[in-house]
Amino acid sequence: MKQGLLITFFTFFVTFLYWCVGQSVEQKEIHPAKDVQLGADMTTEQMAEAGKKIVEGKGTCLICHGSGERAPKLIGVGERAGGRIEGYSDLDYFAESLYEPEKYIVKPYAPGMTPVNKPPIALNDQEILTVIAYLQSLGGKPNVTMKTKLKYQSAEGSAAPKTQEAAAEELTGQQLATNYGCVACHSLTAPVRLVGPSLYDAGKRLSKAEIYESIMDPDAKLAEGFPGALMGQMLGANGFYNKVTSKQLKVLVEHLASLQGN
Amino acid sequence: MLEIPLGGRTLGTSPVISKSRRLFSDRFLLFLLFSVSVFLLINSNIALAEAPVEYRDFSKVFPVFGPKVTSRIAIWVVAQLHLYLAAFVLAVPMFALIIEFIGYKTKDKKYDKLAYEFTKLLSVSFSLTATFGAILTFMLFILYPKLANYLSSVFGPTFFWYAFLFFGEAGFLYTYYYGWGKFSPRIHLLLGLGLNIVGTSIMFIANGWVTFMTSPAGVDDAGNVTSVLEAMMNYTWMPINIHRLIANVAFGGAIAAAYGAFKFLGAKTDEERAYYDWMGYVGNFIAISAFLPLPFAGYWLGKEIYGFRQNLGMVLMGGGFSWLFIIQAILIGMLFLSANLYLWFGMGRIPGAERFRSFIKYLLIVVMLCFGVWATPSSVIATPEEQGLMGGSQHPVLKFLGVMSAKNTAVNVLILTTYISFLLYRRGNKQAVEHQDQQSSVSQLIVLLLAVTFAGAMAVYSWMLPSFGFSSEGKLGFVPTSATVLTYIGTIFFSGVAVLHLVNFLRAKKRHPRNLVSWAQFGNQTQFLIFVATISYVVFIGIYGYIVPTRIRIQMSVPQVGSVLLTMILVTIIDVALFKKAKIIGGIQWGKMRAISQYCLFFTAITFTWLMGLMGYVRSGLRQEWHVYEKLRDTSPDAFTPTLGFASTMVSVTVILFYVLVVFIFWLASLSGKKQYDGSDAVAH
Repeated sequence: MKQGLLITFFTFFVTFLYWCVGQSVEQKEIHPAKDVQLGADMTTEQMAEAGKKIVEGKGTCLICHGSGERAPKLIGVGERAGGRIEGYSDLDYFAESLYEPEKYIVKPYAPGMTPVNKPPIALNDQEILTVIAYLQSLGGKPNVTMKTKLKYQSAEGSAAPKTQEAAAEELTGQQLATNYGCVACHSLTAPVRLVGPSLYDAGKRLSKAEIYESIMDPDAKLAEGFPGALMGQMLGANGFYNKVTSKQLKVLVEHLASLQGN
Repeated sequence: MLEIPLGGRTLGTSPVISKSRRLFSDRFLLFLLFSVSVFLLINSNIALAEAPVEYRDFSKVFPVFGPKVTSRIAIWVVAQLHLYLAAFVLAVPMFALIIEFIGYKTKDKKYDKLAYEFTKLLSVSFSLTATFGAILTFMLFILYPKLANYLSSVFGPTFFWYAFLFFGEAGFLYTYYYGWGKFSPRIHLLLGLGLNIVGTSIMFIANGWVTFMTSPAGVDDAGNVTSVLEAMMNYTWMPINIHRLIANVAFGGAIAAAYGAFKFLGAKTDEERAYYDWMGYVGNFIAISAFLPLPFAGYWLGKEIYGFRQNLGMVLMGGGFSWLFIIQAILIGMLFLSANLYLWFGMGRIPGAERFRSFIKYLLIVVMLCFGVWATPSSVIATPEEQGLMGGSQHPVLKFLGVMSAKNTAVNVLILTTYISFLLYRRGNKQAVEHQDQQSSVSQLIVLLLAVTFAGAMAVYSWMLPSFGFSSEGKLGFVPTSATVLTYIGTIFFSGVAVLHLVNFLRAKKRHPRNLVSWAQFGNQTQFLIFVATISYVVFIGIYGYIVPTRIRIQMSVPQVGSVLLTMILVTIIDVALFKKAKIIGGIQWGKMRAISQYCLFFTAITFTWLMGLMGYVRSGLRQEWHVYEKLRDTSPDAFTPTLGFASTMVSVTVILFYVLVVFIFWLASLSGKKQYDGSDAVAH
């Protein structure tokens, strides 16, 4: 019995030791990169900004192009691209490097890059145009637009992208709550009081009509213990009432009504 | 208890497990297998239908477990427990068969008894493995129906084979175990071989499913299957097969050794203590022997992952999982430490081994130094102020130890050090003697040629190094001139070793009265020179690795590791010949071990288990937000890589749960040693 207890204690102790090692290293949660919102009416400068976000996020470019050990660094590439391959403009070079990366490999690097329009990266044609704009801006002058035609573009991918307004109409309730700053004051996932009351069980306590009223006229019915005027002022200051569309409002109310507190 | 007569020999006893209990567990298992087969058949037939639901939340489907247990957590626990048990169930028959074969060849009963004792642990383990496998299958279809349906659409035909082989394994396993002593030794060995073949085939099929999720093949861009065979035999299939085959043996050996330790500590007689001490030693020997080549299988797996997709390889080694490999390094370092400690403790039971006790402190220093290098990260966790003082996240001195060059060097030296510990243990009670009946020096000549070729190859490789080029970002500030000097030093040194081998041979020949070369004179010096050359070579390559491009540095790990493997083979050949007719100073006193030595065996088993859980996590987590990489995205709320702290918690929980099951398995196995119930405590009416 005594030996059994010693062995049990020892097992827990050694497991705990390794658990501690696991807690003491760098703790990083890695989420999939969010899509960058694009619009058919973006300027070249806006495209370059969006392209930078894609390069640093969804495109995962810096995994290999960051250190320069496995792939060339991107610093100054906008200047180098034009002279890389005879007869190729910088646009041609960038397009080929992204759609058909195995065709030309910068020495002394080895092949291994996947076409960015295919999984796992799977950028669409518009996203690739913004990446090209960004790459052109690194040492050069970007000149692509959202209307630029590349020979690699697919029929689906070359369809005009949605405007930014159209893209905004397709956001989910959770995304709307984040984008409009609801989550800054209300917890949607736990019964935790923040600046405002928790909404994690809003659907259980309130009808859709009551939720709608709480958004459009926050002072009509205040939750106990919370001051009036604050929410209305904040939403007004953010321009919420001017920006939110009726479709978005419907989606947001539906989402809040679905929160049952489980 | 029953005596088992076999061809006039009595092997020992077999447990009388009640017929009703045996039949119950057999019927339960068959029912389970039947249910899973039917379930899989039905689902594989409807697999092509579009699943309306992608994902279900476990906490809503089974709220009894609470809101915190999400689908990912539930699958993680069940899958990991299934893998732990399956690894054990596949490994034990492998070494049980080998040990039984040794017993058959040497006619030594204790090997047969040992093999039987290991196999005793199997029957309950097998039932538990099947149970968790069935639970895992049900849970995958309920919680991740889209993924399960997709995999069914690709691998449907293999489910039939899997279920068929499973029945086969059950048949072989129960016949092998319950038929012990009932068949002729050859038939029984063939049953064991059949069990191993079927078990390995089952693992290979399941490995096809899981490796497909990482490196899919045999499907078109839309994910529709074009070839089931190609889907099975994808990039990472064979590396995982080999890696798991070897790792299973290491893990199974460690659990078997832990069982021996458990029984040793509870032994009542000297005879029992001696037997279980020996069992613990054999289990540990199997575990460490399989552990030593395991990194090479891991390198191959890493290479294939890089070969499949570079960005996967970069995520594995340089991205979010880089700190995980520091945890792995610590675990592996601990394994080497405990392996060496157990051997050093073991030398206490060998008369004559006190001659080598003075070496232990030097070996310990080398092990600790290598462990330190092996576990040093490339960048350190530091506050912004500390980073400002250091000029970045990398320590100005320690950063050089955090790169592959240093790590490969450290682990190869660690392997050699452990091997030296084993050599000292092996020759603890032996003294090599001259033999006047030496007929020729042919075998010594062959060994000489091999040793000279080995050293010569090192010299040639050193000479060729500058042709590989230099890194544009050379670490340690080397310049090509310094590299050339290094090359000359290396070439001259290893050429010198080759010459010394020849000199050693000629001197030994000259000293012999009949101009022959005896092992006693030639063997030790040759082994010493081989060790000096290999350790120098490993360190030399490690230093040179700092000045070559990354892809060359990775390739240089092959000659480093290859030289260590060759050394172990060559030195073992010499050692066997050297001590073939050695003078035995005294017999090994099995059982004369301190209790703390048995805790080394528990430590090894727990560390192996934790390491296996961690590596299972990285294999699965590497896919990140993909269920099947590039083909089927994970759209559940758990589609993110959790922190290493969370992963450590999950691994720790599965380790504890596994050992609860192991205690149950050990307890059941130990029932056979108990007296029959005689009803003497029944209340008289």
